[in-house]
Amino acid sequence: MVFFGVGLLITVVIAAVVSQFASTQPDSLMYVAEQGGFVNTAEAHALDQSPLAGYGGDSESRRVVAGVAGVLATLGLGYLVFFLAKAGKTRAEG
Amino acid sequence: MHIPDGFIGPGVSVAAGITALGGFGVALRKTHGYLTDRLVPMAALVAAFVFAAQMINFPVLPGMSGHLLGGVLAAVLVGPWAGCIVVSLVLIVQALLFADGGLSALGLNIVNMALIGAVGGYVIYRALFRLGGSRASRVPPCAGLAALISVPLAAMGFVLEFALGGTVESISLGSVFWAMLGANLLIGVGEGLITFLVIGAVMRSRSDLVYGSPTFGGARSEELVS
Repeated sequence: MVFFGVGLLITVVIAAVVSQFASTQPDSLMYVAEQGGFVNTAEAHALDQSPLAGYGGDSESRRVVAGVAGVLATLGLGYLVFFLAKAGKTRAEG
Repeated sequence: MHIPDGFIGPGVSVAAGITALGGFGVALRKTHGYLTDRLVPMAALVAAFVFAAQMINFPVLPGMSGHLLGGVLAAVLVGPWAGCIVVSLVLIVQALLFADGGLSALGLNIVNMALIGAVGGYVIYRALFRLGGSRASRVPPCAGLAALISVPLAAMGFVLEFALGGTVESISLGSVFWAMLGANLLIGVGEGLITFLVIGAVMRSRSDLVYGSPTFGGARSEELVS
C-alpha cells in the first residue's frame, strides 16, 4: 500500500511537473523523417482538435491537466483490463 | 518513436493491426498463469508510470530528443506478457486522448514498442540475467542493458515496416536504417539508465514485486514463483 501510494505520487509529479521541462525537439523518428525527406507524408491526426491533443501544447496549466488526466486514464484502464483478466481467470478455474 | 498516420501504407498497417490484436490476445492468455490479486494494482501503476515517463523527452542530439519506451521496465516489473499489455494500453491512451501516434498506426506502434520492446526486450533480459548467474543484485544492470538494446531493436521494427509499406518510394532504405539505428542507440543509453535506476529503486524497496527477480513473490508465497 505504501509502495503503491509513493509510486503513484512520483508518477503524478513526473507527469505534471517534471514534464514541464521536457525537450520539445522532434523525437528520433520525426528527426529521421525530416532528414530523410518523408516527414511531409505524415497526416494530421484525426483527433488533433481534442482538448488534450499534444499533451496541452504550450500552456503550462493545460500540460498539468494533460499529465494528471493521462496518469488517471492509464491507471484506470490498466486496473480495469487486469481486473477483468483476473476475474476471467477465476471464473475459468471455477 | 510513435509512428503518425501516413508514414506506412494501409496494407502493412492493417497487417500490423492484426498482429497487435493477436499479440494482445496471446498476452492476456499468457498473463493468466501468474495473474494474482497483487499484480492488478501493480500493472496499473506501471502503466501510469510508463505513461508519465514517456512525457519526458530528453535532448539527445542538437534538434533531436528521445523518451523512455518502458518495454523492458514494464516486463521486468510485471512479466513480459503483462508488460506487453501495459505498453499497449499506454499507446492506446496516447493515440485516443493525446493524438500521439496515428490511429491507423496503432498496430505498428504496438508491434514495435509492446511486442518487440517488452516481450522481445524481456527475452534479452532473461538471456543476460542467466548468462552470469541469476543473482538478485544483477537484476538492475541486466534490465538496463536489455533496455538499451530494446530501443534500437524497436526502431528496426519501424525500418522493416517502412521497407515493406513506406509511402515514399524514392527514400534510400539504407540511410533510414543507419539513421534510426544510430539515433536509437543514443536514446537506448537513456532508456538503459532510467530502467537501471527505476528497477534498482524497486528492488531496494520491494524486490518481492519484481517479476524478473529471483526474489519475486517473497519467501512467504513460493507458489507465485512457479
